[in-house]
Amino acid sequence: MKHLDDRVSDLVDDRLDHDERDRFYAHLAGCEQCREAVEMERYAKGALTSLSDVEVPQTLTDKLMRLAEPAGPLPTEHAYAAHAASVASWGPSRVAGTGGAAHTGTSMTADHEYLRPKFIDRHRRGVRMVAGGMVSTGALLVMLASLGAPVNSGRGEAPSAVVPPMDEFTVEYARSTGSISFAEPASILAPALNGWEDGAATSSGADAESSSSGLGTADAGLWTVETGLGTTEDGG
Amino acid sequence: MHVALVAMPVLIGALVFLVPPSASATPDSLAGADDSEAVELLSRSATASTRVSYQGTQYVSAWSALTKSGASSSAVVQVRHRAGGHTEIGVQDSQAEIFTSQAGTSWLAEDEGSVDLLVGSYDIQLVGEAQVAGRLADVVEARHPDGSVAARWWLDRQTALSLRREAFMPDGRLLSASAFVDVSIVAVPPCCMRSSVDDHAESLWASEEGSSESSGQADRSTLQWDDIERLRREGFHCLESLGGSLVLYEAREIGDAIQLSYSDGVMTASVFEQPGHLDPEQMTGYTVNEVGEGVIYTRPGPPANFVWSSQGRVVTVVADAPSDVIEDVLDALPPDPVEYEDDDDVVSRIGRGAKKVGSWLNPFG
Repeated sequence: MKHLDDRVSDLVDDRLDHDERDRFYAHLAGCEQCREAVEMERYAKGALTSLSDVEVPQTLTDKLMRLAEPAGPLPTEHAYAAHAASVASWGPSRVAGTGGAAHTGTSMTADHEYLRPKFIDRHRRGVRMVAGGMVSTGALLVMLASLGAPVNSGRGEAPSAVVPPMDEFTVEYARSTGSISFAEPASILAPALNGWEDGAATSSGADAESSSSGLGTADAGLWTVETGLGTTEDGG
Repeated sequence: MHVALVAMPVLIGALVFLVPPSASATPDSLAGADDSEAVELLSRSATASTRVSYQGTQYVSAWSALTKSGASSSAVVQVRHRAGGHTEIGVQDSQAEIFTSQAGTSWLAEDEGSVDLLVGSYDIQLVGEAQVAGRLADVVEARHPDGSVAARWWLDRQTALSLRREAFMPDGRLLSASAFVDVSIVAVPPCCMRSSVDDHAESLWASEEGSSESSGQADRSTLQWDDIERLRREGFHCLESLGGSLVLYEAREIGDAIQLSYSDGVMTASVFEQPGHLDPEQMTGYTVNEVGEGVIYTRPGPPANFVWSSQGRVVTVVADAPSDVIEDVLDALPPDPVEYEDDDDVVSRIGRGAKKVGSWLNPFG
C-alpha cells in the first residue's frame, strides 16, 4: 500500500469508512513515516482546538461568504449551520459524534470543519472531470478537423495544375495504333475525323460533342501514315 | 475524284442516319472455314501494304464506345499508298502531315505481332466470300468465346489487302466500319513502284527518310521494359494489361508524360500519365462522373477520353474500347477525393475526419 499522504487528514478527522480505516491502520502498523505524519496531524489539530475562541466580526464573515459565493450572499451563519447539519446527516459517521446540532456555536474553526465535507471534494472532482472531458473533446475535434482537411494526397511537392494536351494525346494514340494491323481505322483517322468536324465533307451523329477532342485543325486534312516495318495496314 | 463527289453525300447520309448494325449482320455468303486458313489470310493481310500499292476512295465511320445514342463521326477519304512506304489520307484540299509510326523494336507484348494478339484473344474463322468495290474478298471474323463477333474483315482474294472492316462492341453495337468505295490495286515489287503521290508529299517523305535526326528522336521516345521498370520505381503505374485482354504493346515518353498503349488486336487504348494535378476549371466540354470519392472527366469520342487526377498525376485514357478497360487503371490510380474548396468550414472538416476514421475502423470498408 502507498503512503497515506493527503489522506492523513481524512484519517485524523475520521472521514474514512470502516474498511478504509482498517486498511490505513494496518498500514500505519508497519510504516513509521505515516505514523509520524498522523501523530503530527493529531497534535496540530489538538493544539488548534485547545485555543480559545476568537470572536469574528459578523461583517467579516459576511464579506468572506460573499467572496466564496459570487452568485450571492450565503445564508447567515445560523442558517448555514443548520444546512451543514442536514448535509452532515448523510455524511461520514464522524459528524454525528463531533458536531451536528450541538455545533451551532460561533466557532469558525468548527464551521470550517463543515466546509470540508466529502461532497465538496466530489464537486471538485466533478468539475475536474467535466473540464477534462471538454479538453478531451476539443482535442478530438481538432484531430478530426485536421483529418478532414482538404486532401492534397500525393502532392508533397505541390505539383502544378495541368490540362492534358488532348489534341496531342489523340494524335499519339492514333499513331500508336499504327502497329496494330487490324486496329480501328477510326483510330488512325481520328485527327482527320475530328478535323472534319468543321468541314463540309463530314457529319456527326447525335452527339455533336463527340468529335471535339481531335486536332481541331480542319485545314489539316491530308495525312500520311508511315508503315512501320511493313506491319502496318493502313489501307482498309 | 468524280466518284468520290458522287458517293460522298450518299455515303454520309447512309452512315450517319442509319442505326448501327449489330454484330449479327452477315456477309454476302457464309461457308465453313478452316481457322488456320483464316489466320494465314490475316498474316498475309498484315504485310499486304509492303507488297501492294493502291489508291481509292474509302469511307470511315466510328461510333462512340461510351454512349448508346449512336454518336458517331464519319468521313470519306482519299487513300493512296505506296508499297512498303507511306499512306496518304486526303481530306479536301488540305496540306499533308506525316505520322511516323513507331519502330518495330518498340513492341513490348509477348505476342510477336497484332495477328498473334488477335489469335490470343479471339477465335479466328473464315466465314465466306463477298464483293467489295468490285473485287472478290474473303470474309474473316474474330469471335469472342461466346460466339459473338468482335470484328470482321473483307480481305482481297488476290492480295489479302483489307478492303472493308467492321468492329463491334462486346454488346454487339458497331464500333467502327470502313470500306473502299473504289480502289485500284497494283501488286508489284516496291522497287519497281512509281508512286503517284504528289510532289509535296514526296518531298515530305524524302526529308523524313533523309533525316536521321528525326528517326533518332522517335527512337529516344520509345521505352523498353528496362525504362518501364525505372518509371515504376519513380512512381509511374505501368500496367501490363487492361481489362484482362488488352496487353501493353508499346510505351513512349512524350514530354513529361508517358504513353502506354494496349490492344487485343481489335480494340486499342492508350494511357497517358503525367505529373501534376488536374485543373477542373479547364475541363470544359467534359462530362463529370463520380467514381469513389473523386471524379473522372469523360468525352464520348470517338475515340473516348477519360481524364482524372490521382496521387499527384494526371491520368488520361484515349480509347476505342468500352469503359471497362479503364477499371484496372482506376484500381491502380483511383481519382483523388474532390477538394472541398466551397465546403471547408470546421463542421464539414470534422465530418469528413469522422468519416475517414469510420472508414479505418470499418472492417468491411
